[in-house]
Amino acid sequence: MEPGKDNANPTILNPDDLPRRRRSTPSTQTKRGIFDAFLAPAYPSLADPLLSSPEVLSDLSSDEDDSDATREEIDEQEVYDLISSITDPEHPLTLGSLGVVNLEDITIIPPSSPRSRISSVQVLITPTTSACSLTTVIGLGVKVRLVNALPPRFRVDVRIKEGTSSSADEANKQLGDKERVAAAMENKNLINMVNHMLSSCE
Amino acid sequence: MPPQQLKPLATFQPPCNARTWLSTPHPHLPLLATACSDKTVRIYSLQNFQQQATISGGHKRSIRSCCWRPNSVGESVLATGSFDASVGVWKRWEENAGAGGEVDFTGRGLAGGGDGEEDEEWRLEVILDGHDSEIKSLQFCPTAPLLATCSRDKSVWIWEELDDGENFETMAVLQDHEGDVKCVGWHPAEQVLASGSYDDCVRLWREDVDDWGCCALLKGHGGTVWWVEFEGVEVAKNLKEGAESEERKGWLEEREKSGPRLITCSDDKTIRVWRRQPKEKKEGGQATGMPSIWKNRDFEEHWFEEAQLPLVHDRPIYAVNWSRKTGRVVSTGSDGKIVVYEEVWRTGDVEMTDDVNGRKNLTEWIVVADVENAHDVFEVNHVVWLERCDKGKRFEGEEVVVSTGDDGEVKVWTLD
Amino acid sequence: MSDIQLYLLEVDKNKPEAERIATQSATKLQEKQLKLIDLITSLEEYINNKGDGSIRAKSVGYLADVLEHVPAKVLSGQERRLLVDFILGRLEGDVEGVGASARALLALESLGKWDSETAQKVMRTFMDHTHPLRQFKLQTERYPIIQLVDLLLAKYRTPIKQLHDEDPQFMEGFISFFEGEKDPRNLMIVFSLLQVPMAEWDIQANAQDMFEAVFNYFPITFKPPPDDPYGITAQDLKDRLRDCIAANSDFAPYAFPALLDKLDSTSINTKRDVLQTLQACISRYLANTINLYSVTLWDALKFEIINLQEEDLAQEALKALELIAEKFATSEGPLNSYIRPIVKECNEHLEDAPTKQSQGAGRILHSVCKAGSTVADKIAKGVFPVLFTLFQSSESIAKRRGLIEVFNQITSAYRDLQASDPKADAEALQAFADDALNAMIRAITNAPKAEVSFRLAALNGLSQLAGVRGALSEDQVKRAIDAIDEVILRERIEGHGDISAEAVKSLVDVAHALPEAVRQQSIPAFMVELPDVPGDEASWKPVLESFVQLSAEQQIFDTVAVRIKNKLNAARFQNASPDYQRALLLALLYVFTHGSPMREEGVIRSSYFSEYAEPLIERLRDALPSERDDSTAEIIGRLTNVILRQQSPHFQSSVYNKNMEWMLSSTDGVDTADSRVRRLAPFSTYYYASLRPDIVEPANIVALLRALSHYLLSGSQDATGSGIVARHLSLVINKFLKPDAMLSTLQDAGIEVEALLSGEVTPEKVIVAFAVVKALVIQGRSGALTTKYFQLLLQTLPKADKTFARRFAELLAADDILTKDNHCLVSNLYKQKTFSQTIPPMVESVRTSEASVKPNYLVAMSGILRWLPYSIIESSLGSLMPSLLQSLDLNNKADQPVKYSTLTVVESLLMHDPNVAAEHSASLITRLLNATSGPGNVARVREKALQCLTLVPRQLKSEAVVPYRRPVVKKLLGCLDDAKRNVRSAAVKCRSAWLALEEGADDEE
Repeated sequence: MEPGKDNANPTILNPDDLPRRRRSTPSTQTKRGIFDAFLAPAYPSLADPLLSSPEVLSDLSSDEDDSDATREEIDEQEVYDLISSITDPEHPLTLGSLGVVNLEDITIIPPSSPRSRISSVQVLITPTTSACSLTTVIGLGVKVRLVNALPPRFRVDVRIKEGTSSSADEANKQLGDKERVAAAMENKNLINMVNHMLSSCE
Repeated sequence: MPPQQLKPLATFQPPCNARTWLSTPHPHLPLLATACSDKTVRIYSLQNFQQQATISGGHKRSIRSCCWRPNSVGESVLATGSFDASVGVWKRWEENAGAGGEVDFTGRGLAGGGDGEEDEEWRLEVILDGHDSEIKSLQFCPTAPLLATCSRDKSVWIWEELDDGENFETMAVLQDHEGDVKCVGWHPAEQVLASGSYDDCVRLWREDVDDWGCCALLKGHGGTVWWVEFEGVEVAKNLKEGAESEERKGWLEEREKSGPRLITCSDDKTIRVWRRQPKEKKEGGQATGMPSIWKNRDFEEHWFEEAQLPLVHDRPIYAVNWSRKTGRVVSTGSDGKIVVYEEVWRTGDVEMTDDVNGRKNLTEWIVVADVENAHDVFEVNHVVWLERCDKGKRFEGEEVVVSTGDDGEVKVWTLD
Repeated sequence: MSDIQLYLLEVDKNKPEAERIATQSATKLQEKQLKLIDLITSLEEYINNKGDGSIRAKSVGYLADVLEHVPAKVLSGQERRLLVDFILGRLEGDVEGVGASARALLALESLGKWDSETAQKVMRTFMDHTHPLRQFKLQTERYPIIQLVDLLLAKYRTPIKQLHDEDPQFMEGFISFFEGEKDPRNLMIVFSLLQVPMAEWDIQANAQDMFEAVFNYFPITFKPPPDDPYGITAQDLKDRLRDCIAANSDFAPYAFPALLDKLDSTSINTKRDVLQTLQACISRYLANTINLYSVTLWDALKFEIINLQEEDLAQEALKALELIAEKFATSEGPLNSYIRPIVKECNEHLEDAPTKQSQGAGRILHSVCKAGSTVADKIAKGVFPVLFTLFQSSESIAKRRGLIEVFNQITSAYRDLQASDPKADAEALQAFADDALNAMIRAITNAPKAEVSFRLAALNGLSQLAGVRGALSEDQVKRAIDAIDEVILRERIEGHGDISAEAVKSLVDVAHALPEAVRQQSIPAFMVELPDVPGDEASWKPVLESFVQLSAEQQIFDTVAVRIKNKLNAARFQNASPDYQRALLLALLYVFTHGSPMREEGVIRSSYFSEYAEPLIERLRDALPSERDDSTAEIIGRLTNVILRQQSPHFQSSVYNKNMEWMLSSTDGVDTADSRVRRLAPFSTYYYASLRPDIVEPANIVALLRALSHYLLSGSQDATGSGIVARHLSLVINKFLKPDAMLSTLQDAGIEVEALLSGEVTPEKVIVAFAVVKALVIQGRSGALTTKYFQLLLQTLPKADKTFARRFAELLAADDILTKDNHCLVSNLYKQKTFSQTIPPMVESVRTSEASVKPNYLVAMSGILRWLPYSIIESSLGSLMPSLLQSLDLNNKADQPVKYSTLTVVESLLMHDPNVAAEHSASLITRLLNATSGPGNVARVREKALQCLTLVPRQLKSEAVVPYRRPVVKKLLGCLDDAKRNVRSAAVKCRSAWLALEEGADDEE
C-alpha cells in the first residue's frame, strides 16, 4: 500500500468515541432545555439599558449572571482539545483519532508551593508504532502547540509513554531541552513540518 | 524563612519583547550586555537602567550568548554566539575610556538610549565560522588571548586571538563530549577550561605539551549540565574569620592548595561544587578513569564532588554564579526562583559529617535569600552578580544580582 | 468581366465582396439572366487551369458559393444531377478545392433529395479519391467533407449500409478514412457519425479496427482555447467518445481490457473517465456480453472502493458495480456468478472489521443490493450468516460495531429499494431479523454507555430495520421500539455517552414508517413517565422535551398534541406545580411551532383553534386580576397566534367578534382599565398580531390605542409592563393605522411625538415616542412624518441622558411581532432609510460636538448600526470608521452592547474591506487589544475583539502588521489565561494567526 510510511494502516478511533467536553460547564450549570429558546426574554425590558434588545439581552446578560467571578479553569479536557486536532505528519488524520494523544495521558500538576504560581502540564504521547521515526517531531508539534496556546504559567512537559517507543529516552531528553526546542523553532524545515501539523488546529 | 531578602531594584528599559537568554557586565564600564532571541544584543546602562544601544545585523538567528573581552582598554570588545552557528566579534571605542559613563548623569540622559548614532559606533569586526550547529556559550580567557566556544555539534573550540582581535585562529577543536556542549568557563588563574554537556558530564581541558586535551572528566549529574563556573582566585574568603581552630586552619590550607573550585548546575535540579585533588601526593591523579600509560601523569587532574547545595529548585537549574567578592552563590532556573547561598562553618559534631569520599567537610551551604516568580510566571535563564553602579549604591563594592528571563526582561535585585 | 473573374479578383482580399458576387450570380440564375450551362462554361478555363491549383480550388469555391445561394426550385432535377456528376467527375482527377466540392454537394442535396445510387456514388467517390482525409491540411477543407459523410449516414442509412453489406473492404477504408483527425469540431461530428455503423451495421469483422480507431482518442485531454468561438468543451468530446465505445457489444473484448488497463493510470481524471465509460458500456452492452466480463470488472473495480483513494472515484466504481447487478436482475445464472466473488471478498473483509476495507465492503454491498430485491436477497443470504457468526464469536466492541455498520448498509439498501419499488419485499432480511435485533438490542442495553459509536450504530440499525416493510414481525417491532424508548426514558447521562437526542431521532424515524406502532407503544410509555403531579423537574423535563419532538412526524402529531393537552388539564385540575403546568403549556406551543400539524390547503387546520387555543383563552378571560401571570398569558398568546394567523378572514372575524368585548371593556369593574391592559398585554399583543388588518373595527382600534397609551403615560407601570405594552402599541400603529390618517390619529390618542418631546421629557413619554417612531419606520408609508420624527429624536439626543441614546437600539431591533407573517406593514427599505436619515448627521455631530455629548451620539449610532446588514453600511465605512473607533473607547459597563455591536461591524469590515481598516491599522490594533481583556469588558466583547484581531494579520498587508507582531503576540499571553473558556480559545486562534506572520527578512537560508 503506502510503503513510505512506518505504519501504513493504523487503527483509527471513531470520532464518536473521542472524549468531548461535557455540555454542563460551570458557566451553565443545567443543560439548556429545548424550551429555553421560548422562555428567552419574555419581553425586552427597556428599563435596563443593557437589555435594550432581545438579542443583546440573551447574549450579554448570560455572562452577567456568571460574571467572570466564576472562572472556568483550564483542565485536562481543554489541553486535550488543543492537541487532539493536530495532524499526524504521515497520515491525513488527527493525533486524537490515531490515539497518539489520549485524555487519560494528560495531567495538570498544580503549583508546588503556595508561593509559586507555576503549574505544569504533562502529556504522554503514544506513537502509532514503536519504531515510528517521527515520534520526536510529533512531540515537538505537541510541545509547540501547547507552549503557544497555554498561558505562560504552565510548564509543558511532553514525554513518550513508557514502552511505546524504541527511541523514547532520546526523544524525551530532546523535548525536555528548552534550548533545543527553541533552536528547532528557528529551523525552516522543522517550522514548516510543525506548521503543517498545526494547520488543522482550530 | 531565609535570613536575608532579594528585593527588586529595577527593570532595564525598554524590555525586549522576545525571550532574553543571558546578561553579562562590562569588565570596567557600567554597562550590561543582554543576548536576545530577536537576534540582537541590548546594551543597558547600569547607572540608570536605560538601554544605550542595540547591536544587530550580524546574525540570522537567536543570539544565545555573549561575553566581553576582559582587560581591553580604550575599546570595548564583545563576542556573540548564535544559533546560526557563527560567532561575531564587535567593537566600539570607549568615549573617555575608564571614566565610563560618568557623563551619562550630567550629559544627555540615556533614556533615549540606543538611538542610531550610538548604534553606529558598534561595528562588526569579524565573524568566526567553523561550528556545524548552534553555538550555546562562549568565554574569553582571563589570562591569555583565547576565546572558547561550544556548540550542539558536541565540540568545544579554542580560538587564539591574533593582532589584537583583528583576527582569530583555531587553536583546538575538542570533541570528547557525547552530546551538545552547553557551556564553557575559564579558570581564573590557569589556562584551564571547563565545559558542561547534554551528555550529563563536565570536562576540564588544558594544554598538554603543545596540544589541548581533556584533563578531567567529572561525572555525577543526572541530567544536562547547564552551567559551569570557577570560584574566584581568592578561595573561600568569607570563611577566613572564624577559622580559629587548628582543624579549620588545616582544612583551609588544603583548600588553598586545591585552588579555585568549580560549581555546576543541571537539569537534575542539583548544584554541585567540585574540588581538585591537590597534586603533591603522587598517587593522586589516577583516580580519573582514563588510561594513563601514554599520558603525562601530572597532566591528569582528579576532581571530586565536594558538596551539593541545598535542593530548593523543583525544575531544571539553568544558571549559577559565584560572587568574586563575597563567595556567595546565586542560582535560577525553569521554576522562576532566584536563590542565594552562602558557605559557612559547620557547627556541631564534625565527625558525623564525612562526605561520600570519606573526607571531612567542615563547611556547609545554606540558603540566605530566595524569591519566587522572579520574572512573573516566566522561566529565568540566567543570573549574575555584579557591582552596583546606580545612584542608590549604599556602600563601596555593594553587589546586586541581575536576572534575565523568558519574558524579555532583565531585572536587578538587591540583597538585604 | 464575368462574375467568376470578379470573384477570383476579390476572393482573397475581400471575402464578403466575393460572396456578394456569387450571390449575384445565383440571383441571375434565378432570374434566368444566366443559364447554368453558361455559368459552367465560364468556369471552364479556371477550373481546369493546368498551372495553378489554387485557381482551380477557388473556382470550385465560386461554384459552391453560388449553389449555396441558389433558392430551391431554380435548378431542375436533371441540372442538379449533372452538377453532382460534374463535381464528382472532376474529383476523380483533381482534389483541389475538395472542401468546396463537398460544400457544393451539400448545397445540392439541400435543393433536392438524392436517389440511392447518387448517395452511394458520392460516398464511393470520396472514399476512393479523398482517402485518407488527413492529406488535406486545412480544417476548413476537411470539415465540409465530414459534414457530407455525416449527412449521407444520417439521411441515406440503407443505401450506405448496402455499400458495407456488398463490399467487405468498404468498412476498412471507411474507418481509416478519418484516421488522424485532430480538430475538435471535426471530431465532434466524426464521433457521432461513426455511431451509425457501430450501432446499426453488422461490424463483427471490423470490430477491433473500429474500436481502436476511436479508442486512440481516449482519454480526451483536449483543452478548449480561452476564447473558443465554437464552445466545444472537453466534456462534449468525452461524452461523444464514450457513446462510441459503448455503442456495440462486439467492442467488449477490446474495450474492457483496454479500459481496465487505463484504470491503473495515476491521473485522477483519466480514472474518472474510464469509470464513467465503463458505466456506459455496462448499461449499453448486452447482458450476455457483460456476463463474460462481470468478474474481471469486479476484480478491477473493487480496489477503487476498498483501498479508497479518491472518494468520487469510489462512487463511480460503486455505480458501475450496481449497474452490472441491474443487468442481471432477471437472469439467475450470471447474477450468481457475479455475486459469488463479491460475497466471498466482502466476507473476508468482515473478518478484521472495523477497517477501511470493511467499510468499503459495506458500501459495495449497499450499492449492489440496490440493484434489485432478488440481488439484495442473494447478498443477504450470502453475507449475514458469516456476519452473525463473526459477531457472536467476537468480544471486541469495535469489531461488533464494524459488523453492525455493514449490516445497516444492507438494510438501508432494502429501504431504498422499497422506496422506488413498493412491491419489493425483504424476505432474506426477515430471515435474519431476529439475530440482528438481538445483537442491536444487546448493544444498546448492555454495552458500556461510553461506547457511543457502537450504541449509535445499533440505534441506527433498529430504526433502519423498522423502516423496511415486512422486515420485522409485530413482536419484533415492539422489541425494537422498547429498546429505543428505554434509552430515551431511562438513561440520564450528562456529556459523553448521552445518546438520547439520537434515540429520539430514531424513534421519529420509526414513527414515519410505523406510526401505529409508535402510537400504541411509545406514547403510552412516555405518558407513564409524565404523571399528573410529578416530582422534581429532573424527573419529567427530559421526558417532556423528548416527547414533544415526536410531533415532527405528522402521522402522530394529533396524538402527541392531544396527550399534552389532556396532561395539562389533569395537571391543572390536580394543582400540579406552576412550573410543570407552564412546561406543558410550552410543550403545546412547541409542537405547534416546530412540529408538523395537519394542514388544509397549506393552512394549519382551523379546528385546532377550538380544540387548543379557545379553552386557554377562556381561562385567561375568566382569571382574576390577582392571578396575573405574564408568562402564561404570553404563551397562550403565541399559541393562539400560530394557529390563528393563517386562518381565513371569515374564520378570524368570528373569533374577533367573540373576544372584542371582554378584552377591552373594564366595565365589570373588577379591575381598572390600566391594570386590565397590563394583565392582558402579553396575550393581546400576540392575539392582535395574528389578526388580518381588514377584519378589525376602527373604533375598537382607537379605543385600544387610547387604553395602551394611557397605561404607558400614566407613569405607574413596571419595566416589564411598559416593555410589552410599548411593543403592543407599535404593533397597533404599524398594522391598523392608515397612513393618511396617521398624524391625526396619533394626536387624538395623545401620542404625537413632537408633542411628547416638547416640554419636559419624561421617561414615559420617551418610551411612547420610540414605540411610535418604530412603528412608522417599519411601516415606511409616512415618509415625511418619519423624517420629521427622526430629526426630533436627533435634536433631543444631546440634551437627553444616555438611556435616551440607548433607546435608538430599539428602532431596528429584531422583533418577532412586527412581521409580514403577522400581517404587519414591513417596508423593504426601512433599514436603508433609517441609516441614511440618522447616521450621516450623527457622524457629523460626533466630529463637531464637544466631548461631553459625544458618547450619546456614539451610543445611539451603534444602536442603529448593530441591526444593519453590512451591505448598507459598506459604502460609508470610510466616514464611519473614526466614530466606530471612538465607540470602542466607551468604557462604561452599560456600554458593552455598544462595544459589541461595533466590534461586529469591524469584523465584517475586516472581512470585506480590509483596505478601509488598513488606513487605521495602528489605532484599530491598539483598541482591539484593549478590548481583549477585562475588567471593563464582558466575555463576549473580549471574545469578539479577539476574533477581529485574528482577522488583522490575515486580511491586512503583512508589511502593515508585521511591526506589531511581537508586541501583540506578547500582549495576547494574558488572554490565554482568561477566565472564560471560549475567550481563551479565541485567544489561541488569534495568537496563532499572529505567530504565523513571517517576519520577512528573517529567513535567508
